Amino acid sequence: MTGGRTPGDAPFSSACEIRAAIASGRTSASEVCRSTLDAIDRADPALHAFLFVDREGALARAAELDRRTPADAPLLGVPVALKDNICTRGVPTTAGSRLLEHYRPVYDATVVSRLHAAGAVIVGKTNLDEFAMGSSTEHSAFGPTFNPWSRDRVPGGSSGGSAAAVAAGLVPIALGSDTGGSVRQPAALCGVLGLKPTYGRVSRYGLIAFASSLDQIAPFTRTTEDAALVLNVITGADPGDATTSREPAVDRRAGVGSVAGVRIGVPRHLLDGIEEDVRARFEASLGELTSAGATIVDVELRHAPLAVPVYYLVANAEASSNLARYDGVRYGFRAEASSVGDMYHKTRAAFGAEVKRRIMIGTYVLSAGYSEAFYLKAQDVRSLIRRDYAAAFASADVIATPTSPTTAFRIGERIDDPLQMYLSDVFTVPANLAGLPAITIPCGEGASGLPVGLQLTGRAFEESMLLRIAGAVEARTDWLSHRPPAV
Amino acid sequence: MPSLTASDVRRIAALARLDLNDGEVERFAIELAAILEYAAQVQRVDTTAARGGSAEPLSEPRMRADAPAPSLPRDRVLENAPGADAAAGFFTVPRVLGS
Repeated sequence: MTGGRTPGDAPFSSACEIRAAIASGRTSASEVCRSTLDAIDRADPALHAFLFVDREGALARAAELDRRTPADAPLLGVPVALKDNICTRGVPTTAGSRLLEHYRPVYDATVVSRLHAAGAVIVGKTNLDEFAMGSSTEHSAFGPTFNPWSRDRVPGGSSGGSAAAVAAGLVPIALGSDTGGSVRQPAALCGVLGLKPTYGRVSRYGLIAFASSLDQIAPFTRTTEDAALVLNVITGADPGDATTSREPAVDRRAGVGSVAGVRIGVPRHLLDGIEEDVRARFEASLGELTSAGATIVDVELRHAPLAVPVYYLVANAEASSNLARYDGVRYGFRAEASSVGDMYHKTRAAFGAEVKRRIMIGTYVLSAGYSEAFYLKAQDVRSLIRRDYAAAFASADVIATPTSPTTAFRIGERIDDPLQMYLSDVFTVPANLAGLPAITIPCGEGASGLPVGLQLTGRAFEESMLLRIAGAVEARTDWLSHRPPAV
Repeated sequence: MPSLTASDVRRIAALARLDLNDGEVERFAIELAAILEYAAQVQRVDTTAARGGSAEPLSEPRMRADAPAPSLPRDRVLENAPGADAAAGFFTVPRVLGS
């Protein structure tokens, strides 16, 4: 909002500012759309946040909104980007994979229908690790995304394109999917807000499945108010996803309120080995919350150190089953072959290395003689992890940890070391295993100049509490308004 | 525990209907063994209190009314299918039986 430009038109405007500027006639959906597309054209060659920019579709949609403005559309004219594993009718949806390079879904995901009904303008599809499997976006078949804070660093992953697009101010809202931290970790590494809802809050209909008991669509925003706004739009029961909940939606004003008396549990036993920059910003955030009236209490999550191994057993088992559908018959790539069996094998050889690795692990742990020792055992430990949270929530309203043990790492640094890459997710996977809501909010930059995220995990369906705490941090600091130096 | 031979890797790849080249087989034998060894720490946990935990659902499944509803239009669905016979309304695959 500099240089005398209209707030709704400038990069870094919030969704609430854009909606207000259009509703009051200070700008139009078409003007906002054009300036967004221009900003993407200028910035994206250096970021590669987008796999597809729907210039024609977005401009047509914006013009339609300008012709007959829905009176109370909560996202009126707001540009939104979608991770490219969320199905958009007639618009390429690749999941970052060669297998779906030319796939155009026949239907919209439920979140897409809801965004449209709310007046949003979907401007494009963002880069991701292939089939959302990764923590750096380097496993995209179409090349990596670069972190707007430092182009030699990863944006995190798997929803790295969505995180980078929001961090660079190109869109106020982007959706990703979070199976083990794939929204929260990149949000933290790119210095934006990411909110994984409770399992069942948001319909997965039209999300390309990775691990169905863990997957949840989740928003990236730069403000708490925008996070509450978009969550309010995309949540709710859906006949297309039998696991969706009938809980009442999160209030749009959920980010407003006092945190006096809120008990914040800190599992100190999990914090060994985190980077110094991360520790310093984490402790400073706890200090801010204390001065806002919250109380810090010690909690123990005894089985949380097992969350990463449990996650890689459960998620990969589910992935090996979900990805069985890529057989060259109904959609996607098909390899030339002389028999149907040969076609399956040759078609699936087009998966990238990380996807193959995970399918192999999942197949192994589900195979005869191993499923009990690996998969079923992991499910039992998963139950213990969930029970630990239930016990901790007796003395704490939310649980705070850093979102990632490190700030953004260098491109190429972990690509050849899958185990090291998996450990990026140590603080984020427990919430998925337990089905709980978790938010990451920026808490400043470390000495390196790279952003650090604070993660808060709440009781099931208590996203409002997470937003209230995020709102308090936002009101007391200017962390949410920090911008990457390069943009 | 667990060391994987090339033939173990080929056996798993066959179950997963994945063609792997020799380089991938060699690499996965090492990587999968390391990942499985790391994951095997779950086996040392006492889970007596949570036996059969996979039966605890994250959300209560609901039944919907068993009422017919329109499905996706066949011609549109076939547009994404490699080698489909759109006029006849069929997916097609290479030969299944014989050579």
